[in-house]
Amino acid sequence: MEPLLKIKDLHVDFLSYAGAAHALNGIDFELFPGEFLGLVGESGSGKSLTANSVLGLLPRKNAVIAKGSILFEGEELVGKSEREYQALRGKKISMVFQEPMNALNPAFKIGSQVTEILKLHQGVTAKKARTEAVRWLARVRIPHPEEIMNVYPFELSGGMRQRVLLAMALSCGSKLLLADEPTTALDVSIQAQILRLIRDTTDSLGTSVLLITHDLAVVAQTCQRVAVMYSGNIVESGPVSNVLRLPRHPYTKALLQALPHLDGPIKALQSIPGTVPNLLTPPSGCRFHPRCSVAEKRCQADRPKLLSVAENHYVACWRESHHV
Amino acid sequence: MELKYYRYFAKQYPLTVVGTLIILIIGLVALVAPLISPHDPLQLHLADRLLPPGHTYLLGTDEMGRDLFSRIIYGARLSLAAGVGIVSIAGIFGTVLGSVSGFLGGKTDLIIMRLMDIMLAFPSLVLALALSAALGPNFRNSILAVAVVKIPVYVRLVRGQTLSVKEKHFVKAAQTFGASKVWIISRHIIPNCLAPVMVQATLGIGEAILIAAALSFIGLGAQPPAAEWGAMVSVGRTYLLDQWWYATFPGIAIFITVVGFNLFGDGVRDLLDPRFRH
Amino acid sequence: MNTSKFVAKRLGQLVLVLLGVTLVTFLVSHVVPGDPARMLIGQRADEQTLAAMRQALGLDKPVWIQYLNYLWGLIHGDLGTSIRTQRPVLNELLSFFPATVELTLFAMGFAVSIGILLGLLSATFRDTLTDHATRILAILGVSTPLFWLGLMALLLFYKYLGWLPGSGRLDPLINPPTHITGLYVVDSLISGDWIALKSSILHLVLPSLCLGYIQLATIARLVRASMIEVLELDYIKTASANGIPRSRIIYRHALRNALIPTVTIIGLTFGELLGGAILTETIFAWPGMGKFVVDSISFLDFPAIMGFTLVVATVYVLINMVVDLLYPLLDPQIKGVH
Repeated sequence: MEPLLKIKDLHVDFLSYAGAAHALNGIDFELFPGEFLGLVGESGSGKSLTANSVLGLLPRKNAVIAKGSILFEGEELVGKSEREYQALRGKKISMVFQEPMNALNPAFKIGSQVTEILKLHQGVTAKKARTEAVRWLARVRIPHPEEIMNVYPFELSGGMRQRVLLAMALSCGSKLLLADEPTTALDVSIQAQILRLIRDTTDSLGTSVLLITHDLAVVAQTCQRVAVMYSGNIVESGPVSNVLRLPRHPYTKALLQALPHLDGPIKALQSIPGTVPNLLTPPSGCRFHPRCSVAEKRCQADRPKLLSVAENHYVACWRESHHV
Repeated sequence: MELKYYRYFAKQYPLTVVGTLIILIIGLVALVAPLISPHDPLQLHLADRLLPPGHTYLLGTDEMGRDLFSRIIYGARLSLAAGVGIVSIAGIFGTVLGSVSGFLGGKTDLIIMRLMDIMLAFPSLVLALALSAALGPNFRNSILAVAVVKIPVYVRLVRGQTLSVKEKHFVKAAQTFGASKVWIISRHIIPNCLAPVMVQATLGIGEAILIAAALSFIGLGAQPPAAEWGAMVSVGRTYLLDQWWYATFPGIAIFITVVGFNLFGDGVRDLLDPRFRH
Repeated sequence: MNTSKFVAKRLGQLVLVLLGVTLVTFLVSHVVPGDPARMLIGQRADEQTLAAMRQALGLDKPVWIQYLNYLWGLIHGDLGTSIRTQRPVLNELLSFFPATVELTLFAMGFAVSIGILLGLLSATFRDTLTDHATRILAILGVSTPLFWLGLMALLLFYKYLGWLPGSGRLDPLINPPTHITGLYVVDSLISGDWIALKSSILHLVLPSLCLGYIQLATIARLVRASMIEVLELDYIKTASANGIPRSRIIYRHALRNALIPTVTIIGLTFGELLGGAILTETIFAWPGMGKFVVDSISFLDFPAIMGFTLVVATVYVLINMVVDLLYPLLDPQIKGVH
């Protein structure tokens, strides 16, 4: 099957007075139609940057795609003009963000914000857009959608706003949804609901999802495949069942150990020693080596490549046998 | 500090440098006015009335044959005195009132702040006009009037600052040692409010000069024949259509001086405001 | 809090502030000058006349009774009699009021529309030539002596170019339009008097542009700052991610929110304009309250000066209240709170 999204050797640099920071340092991954892929990592690892690169939403002044390619439906996105990106955004590729509280314009009613996108991308009449909007609000399980059309965002809870944003993102038939920590800012009780809603809705539409999160538990609940990021690199990727049960990369292992297990025996949670590296002066070789408990000499010298260790399971670590 | 630092600063904030230079030059001119002015600013040359700019009188003469160039040079003294005087008086009274208001709180705070609100209910120039008319039209009174009008700005600023300093440990500590209120306000509160007051004062000099000049222009500040720029424009207005230079040059002097202070003040604020610092 | 409660509370505050304003004008006119009686009749008056004057003014009574008397007079519309014109100050001010309103409204319209436009351009093309030019224009704007700017405009556009009239509200040969509102532009529009309309608009150009120019800069800077802040917000990113074109994001999504804080300073701007009108009206011989008060100064016409001060402060306070009351209409979040 042809991948819907294929990212190859993507490098993104942040330019600052102190020099260029290689924030994405050669990312490779593919996303297939209808697939639900989790992108996991600590903050600063480059997950959001990856999603923003796909949509061409990098901060204009100081972030640039230095190298690499992003293919969407076989079409190169890198180098597209702002106008070309506009035609994609919201129509073919959509995004929902972390902070639903501030992601809706406070000055306009919900209805006007949902219909605006429908009118823009589908060229439908105001009346048609309105019935469509109500239908979409109902689809994301918003009670009394007609009434919600006429309220302002501040009158809604965070969970309701995230539903509205999801409706807006999906309403024009996007094939790819980039969900950037969509539940992080919500109450724990709402998080599971919203995740299930995203999964069910995209399932029935056949939309692919790239779910960005720092929470492996979320990945375990919703995703089919997972990619683990560390400091601008993907260090491990594979089917969720494999990666979470049999992690191969020391970083993934550490992440899993830092996770509380409700069903397991109670033991001290391990936090990973050290901090996320400074991108201006990243460690040489494998960027994880200063924090890695099993690092060897060559980890300092050379960067390991992402190589297959089992079917569909890839790891970038010198300690994996195939590198020997 | 090294030369390199200055060069970097000049490149980063060219307008601030221009402003600083303007202020330095005007200050210098005011300082050495008697040395550089070609004529006595008050000396009448009745035979040379309303002459256009030329060799003898660089910027022309007024209706009494006084040399405009010399008068403008001397005018720098009055305008600088007005600007600095106004912000100093307003700054000092505003700081005292604001710190007392913020520190004591309660009724004192309420009364002082309501009074400030009421003063702010008047447009600045209008209240300055009324006050300076009541005090009697002369230069000193016009400065007092503008200073009074500007007090609320400092009261509000210092009060806000006081409210946050008040909660700091060293103030709490001083209170537990039984320090008097006057001691705490003068030793702890006010010194910690000085930096923002200085910034505000620097930013306010330009406007102060403008209002003082405007009062002179409508006949409430310095009285002719004083060599005050606003008053000169005021008289020059009568001769505007035939002797354009009379009102034009003193006005340019005001404009340049105020531009200098505003550029400088802008730079000072940018430098001290952490949001603008890189 | 519901709307009527909010309005009632705001009106209560208004009454207090207005009382405070009268207290200030009272203090300034009765206490600060030392001897108002001498001020009224001049330095050469003999003691007997002075004493009689003091009694007539009630100055022999305690200060708080004087204040009550003053208030009582104000409530009955008594602002005293102008020394210069010998007419009641209130009547004088009322007759000059429309001219001042017309001038400040035009200045306001100019400052707000161009100010918003410049601020918008400046924020959109941040750190470009446009932005730097606006910044310099803003600094020059707050640094220009308004009275001198007016004179320079007169020299250029009236004397040398001859494009625009330099004084008054109408050509002296044209009859004023039928009095309806007192604003010549409005009145001549209503009565279809095209000649008066053209003349009154031409006469407005120089004074209102000069008066507005100073405020324009302030507004432009504020809109710029506000716009830059809004453009960084999450909902702008949402709009981008949904494929809404940049121009539409700026003019519809960002501008609407950026203008909300701008509205509050419109009230404040009005105060500056009313103050500035004193200078502008003097320079362009515009028959408004500002020119009236400057004419009164050389006569030390105290009742006129204080009457003017009181009326201007009242108008200013009222305008700020209206702005406060209108604010919720613009900002749905505030509306929800009330």
